[in-house]
Amino acid sequence: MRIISCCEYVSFVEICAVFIIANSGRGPGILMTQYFPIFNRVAAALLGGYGFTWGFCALGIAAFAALGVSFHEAETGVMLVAFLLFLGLFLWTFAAKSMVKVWSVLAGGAVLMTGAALAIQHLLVG
Amino acid sequence: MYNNFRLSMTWVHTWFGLVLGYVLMICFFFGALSVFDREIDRWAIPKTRFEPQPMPSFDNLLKPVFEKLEPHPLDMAATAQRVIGDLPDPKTMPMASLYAYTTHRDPVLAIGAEFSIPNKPKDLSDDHQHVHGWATIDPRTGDVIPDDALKIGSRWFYPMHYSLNWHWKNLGYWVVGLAALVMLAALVTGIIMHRKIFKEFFTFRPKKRVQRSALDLHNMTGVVALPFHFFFALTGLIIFAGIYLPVGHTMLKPLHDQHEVLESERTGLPHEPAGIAAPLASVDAMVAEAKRRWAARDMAGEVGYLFMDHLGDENGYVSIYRAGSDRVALVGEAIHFKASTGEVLREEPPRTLVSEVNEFLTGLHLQHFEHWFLRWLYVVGGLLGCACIATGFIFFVEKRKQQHAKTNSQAIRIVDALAVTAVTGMVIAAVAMLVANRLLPADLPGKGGIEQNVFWSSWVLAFLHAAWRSAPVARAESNPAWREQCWIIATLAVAAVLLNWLSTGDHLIKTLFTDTYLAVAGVDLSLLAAACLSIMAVRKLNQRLPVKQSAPSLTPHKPAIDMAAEAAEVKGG
Repeated sequence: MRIISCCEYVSFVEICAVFIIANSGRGPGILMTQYFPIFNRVAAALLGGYGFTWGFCALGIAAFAALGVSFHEAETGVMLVAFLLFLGLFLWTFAAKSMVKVWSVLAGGAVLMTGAALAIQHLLVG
Repeated sequence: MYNNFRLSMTWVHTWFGLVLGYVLMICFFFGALSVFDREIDRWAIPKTRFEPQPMPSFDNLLKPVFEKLEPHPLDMAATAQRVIGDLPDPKTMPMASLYAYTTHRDPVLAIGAEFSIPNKPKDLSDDHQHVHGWATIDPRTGDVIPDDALKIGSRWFYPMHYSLNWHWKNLGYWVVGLAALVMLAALVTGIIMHRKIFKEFFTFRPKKRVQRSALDLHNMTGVVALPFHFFFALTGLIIFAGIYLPVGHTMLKPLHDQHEVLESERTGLPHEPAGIAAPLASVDAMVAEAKRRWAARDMAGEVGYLFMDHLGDENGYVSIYRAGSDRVALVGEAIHFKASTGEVLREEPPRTLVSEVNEFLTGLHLQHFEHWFLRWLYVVGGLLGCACIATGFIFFVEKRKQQHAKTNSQAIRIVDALAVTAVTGMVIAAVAMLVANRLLPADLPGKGGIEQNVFWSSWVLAFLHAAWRSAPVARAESNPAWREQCWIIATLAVAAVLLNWLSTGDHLIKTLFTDTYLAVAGVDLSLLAAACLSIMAVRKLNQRLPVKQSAPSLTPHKPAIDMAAEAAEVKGG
């Protein structure tokens, strides 16, 4: 086997560093404009999607509980579909044309459903 | 994201698949190993190499064992940080509840207890006022298995599968959860990307360029096992839904607690102790009654889980759960008894449709049932997942490395080195841990901790090696680390089998024929299979390697596929 100098290993570490510097050296402004659309989509897909799913679960559990379904029963049922919903939202975020629409549906839905769930809980528990 | 729907989905598939693919590789590989976690435990702790045992008699055997059980030092330390003031002497803490757990594959019995403490918690919302103690015992004698003996299968490979053994703030669970979501997204986007899904089911062109045949294999393994992969990623998320979406423990906790109180009024199982001392009636008699009632329901069975709460109190109760080795759904059919008299307090009613669906889905993932053929199919499915992800990495690298070589870009080296680390490096870590397990003496204090260090450090070394050897990738050639790490796997795997023989006398002729013990034989055979596959992979790589002119891209594909397959092969059983 050919003996390879440590240089090759060092150069591996270097390329990682160079990769980071090359991208950040252009300043945060350029970095933001270049990558913002991607950051925005990923943030919407993960955080927005999670928030919407959370609101859906909370509202689902509270609404079923209000209808007389047992808490754990409602929780179990809602969780069976929660991740399929999250998956759908996740993919839709990347397929959608307008990010304004994506954010308004995800954030708006999250806030509205979470608020509704809290209101129902307030009515039930007092 | 792009104006074209298919392009957008391709972007999601490529980039999320690449970034989380490294995690998915771990999930699939250690998931495949977890199918035979109990068998790997037997291999790693030779003094537990005996036949699975039923739940032993509580009155005669377990009672004295529990009397000796004390709070675990680890949980003493953790609890001391949570509460105000010094904890009392562990020997004086009263035991509040206890459990014993076994399965149809367990020779040993896991037991544990909660001990009450008088200290107030620092955080007022922390309503957990107990210190835990636990142990593993030989159910034939009641002897305790030393705590230093790490159950490598069920306490290391299995938690690796769902938490990466990264417990700080539960971050490992969250990373795995994100990977599972990305797995689902990758399957859906993969279908969208490839219109000719039926045709791809039958397409594999091993003689073509690496890029082409890697893609064929990626598509084939992805499509063949598509329902399997989708099911496991989804049910994995559902199993840990309480961690990922803790709505009921946080925001809706008031509603949850209200339900708990109503529930305990309805079931008659006391939520709190009465404060009046009471003796314990014969638990064996309760077990006999539970078995009689199960048989009357036409589902005779053994006890899998025994639980007692409010010990020594008038409100104490005993819950007896059935071992679910004969059905998919993870159900206990629990029967609850009053501890002081042995009268039945409650028999769990038939389940509702929602919980039946849930228990079937999670039961099919966790497979506590007894079905050895299906168990092996799970292993195959897991290995197909590994092959799918590994070929995805290779396709990613192959597709770009010519271009990167022209522009003198080095970035592809990072991806390739990480791919080597995630494929062969991961197998090296697992097998090196088994080798360390057989080299270190059984009674060495802190043995399990050393094994864990061997696991992590050999994985880090594999990464450093892959990174150090990665220069050819930037010239559009293959990384020699693939071949070299295959050799390391083969050497370690054979060494593990030989060391098992030398340290315990259990060689394959004995474990297969003269004194059959399939758990150990299965692990040994799987290690040998891994060694064979590694050597085959090296040979294939070498065949493709020294072509004079323009065949650089022919190199690294086949190995990685075999690698992944064999990677998963190390499982055991």
